[in-house]
Amino acid sequence: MTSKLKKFRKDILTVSFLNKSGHVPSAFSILEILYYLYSEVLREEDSFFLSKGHGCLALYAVFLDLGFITQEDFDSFSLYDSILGGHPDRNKIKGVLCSSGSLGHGLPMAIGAALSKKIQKKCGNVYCLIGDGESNEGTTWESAILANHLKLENLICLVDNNNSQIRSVSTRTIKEKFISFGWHVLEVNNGHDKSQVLNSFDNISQDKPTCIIFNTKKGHGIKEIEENMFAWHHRAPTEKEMEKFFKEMGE
Amino acid sequence: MRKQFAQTIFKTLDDDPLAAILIGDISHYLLKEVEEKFPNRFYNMGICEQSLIGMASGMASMGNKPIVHTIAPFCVERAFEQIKVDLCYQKTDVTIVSVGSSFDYASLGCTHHCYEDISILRSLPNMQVFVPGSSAEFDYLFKKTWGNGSPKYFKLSAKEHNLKTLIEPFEATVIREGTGKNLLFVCGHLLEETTMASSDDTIIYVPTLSYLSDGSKKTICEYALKHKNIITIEENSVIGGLGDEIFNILCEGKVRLPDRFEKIGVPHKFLNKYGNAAQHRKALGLDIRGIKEKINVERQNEL
Repeated sequence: MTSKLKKFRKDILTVSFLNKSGHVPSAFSILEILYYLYSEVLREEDSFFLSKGHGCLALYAVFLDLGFITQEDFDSFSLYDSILGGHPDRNKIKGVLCSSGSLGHGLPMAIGAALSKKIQKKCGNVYCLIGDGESNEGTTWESAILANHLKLENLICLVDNNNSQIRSVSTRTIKEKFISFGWHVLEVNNGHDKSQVLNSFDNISQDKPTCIIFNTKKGHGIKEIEENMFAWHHRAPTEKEMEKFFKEMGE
Repeated sequence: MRKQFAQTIFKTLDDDPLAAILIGDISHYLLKEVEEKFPNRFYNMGICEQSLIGMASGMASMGNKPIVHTIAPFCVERAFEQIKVDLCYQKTDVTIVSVGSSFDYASLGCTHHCYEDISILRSLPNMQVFVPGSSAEFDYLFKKTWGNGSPKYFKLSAKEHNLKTLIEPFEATVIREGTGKNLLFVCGHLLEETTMASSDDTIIYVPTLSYLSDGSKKTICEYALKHKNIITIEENSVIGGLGDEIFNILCEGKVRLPDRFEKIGVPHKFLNKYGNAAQHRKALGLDIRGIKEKINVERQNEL
């Protein structure tokens, strides 16, 4: 793990510890996807929808790094007057396109945005990040039908496949499902590996909507969280745990 | 009103290149000309109301002004959370126009009825709710509010009144200055029945059911003070509809309650009969005779 991605994780743990809030494991599973997407893939004319809004600490850490928000903003995460909530609000944060939190909302919105780009003859892609747990929602599959029907080759659905749903209703065979709905599907074995992540973005289809499935680890980077992802889903670390986690990342 | 809807949509898409229409596999034939003239702004998205609302929100986030059109219970009640989150919370300029008002699809049963749409939508911040009573009113309210940046809902009914009205969005209109003790509030096509059911009562018409202007609220309070009884008449659930809107306005205005405050509308139950809408109106006392009887009951109580 690069020092930058370690720093993001430390920032997230710190603000979660101080403000006693946040979905840390979900943020850790999407950090690499978001960072490489924002730093190397997204162009001015592209749009990104974070559908799994509870992973927003990763987005905030990346936004802080890119200068979209200030350190003061970041430090205020989830406090009463903060612009950064436990789920992002598009009317408060510049650069956020959807106020998410309720699952299954981002992909339909991204379809609308991709369609609008075509109607208005605008170039640029629309990216939307959903989760495998989120894929329980029927709107994911309604959207899979609609994107194919509308021939939205400018739409790329990113799936954070972190196995968070294995204890309930696991959305198995996501790849096969999207293929059967007429999408171009790519699978990334390690969604935390820079070259694998970036390589997938080079293989987006020019005539079909693309789905990229990133196999990730919920809580990636901290053993204790990876191994107890359910207990950690919505829990802030204690001071003692902070020390242990920082040590693990090599402070 | 549906024919007018097709004309209004055609004109709107013709005038505004950012306007687009998404239908939920209904009125496709009615909108044939719209589809032919504007093929890249007309989309029949099939039967997936939740995604339909989400899509419209995403389009609005890119600057389009989408109109969503489908049957009331499916677009309002099935997709209620999408309306709350994607339209109201995010404050997107999306217009919903429903058909199948209240019990217009009487014979199809309760799954196709929708007398709670106004009630539940009125509870959502940012949602502007309109109940036009005629084609002309729909066209006027639609065009007057077009592009105002807020989510909007228009309830189209199969029946309409044949009166000429001078209305404005977000305003109540005094239709008749009566000499009687009753003050009647009405919305939608029932305006006609109401004017025929009473001869000397004051009638205030309220085609907008959320975000009424302060001026209109003041007018409503002033008229309430001048009348002994208040009766509200609506083809909607009496829970959360026009009657409650008027009651809330009087409470906010700290107006003393009238001797009687009566809400005439759809009672708190499923209308599990079939037949046609006229039969339901008759059974509910929402026809001329029924409304007249209610008003006369008021009179008898006064004696």
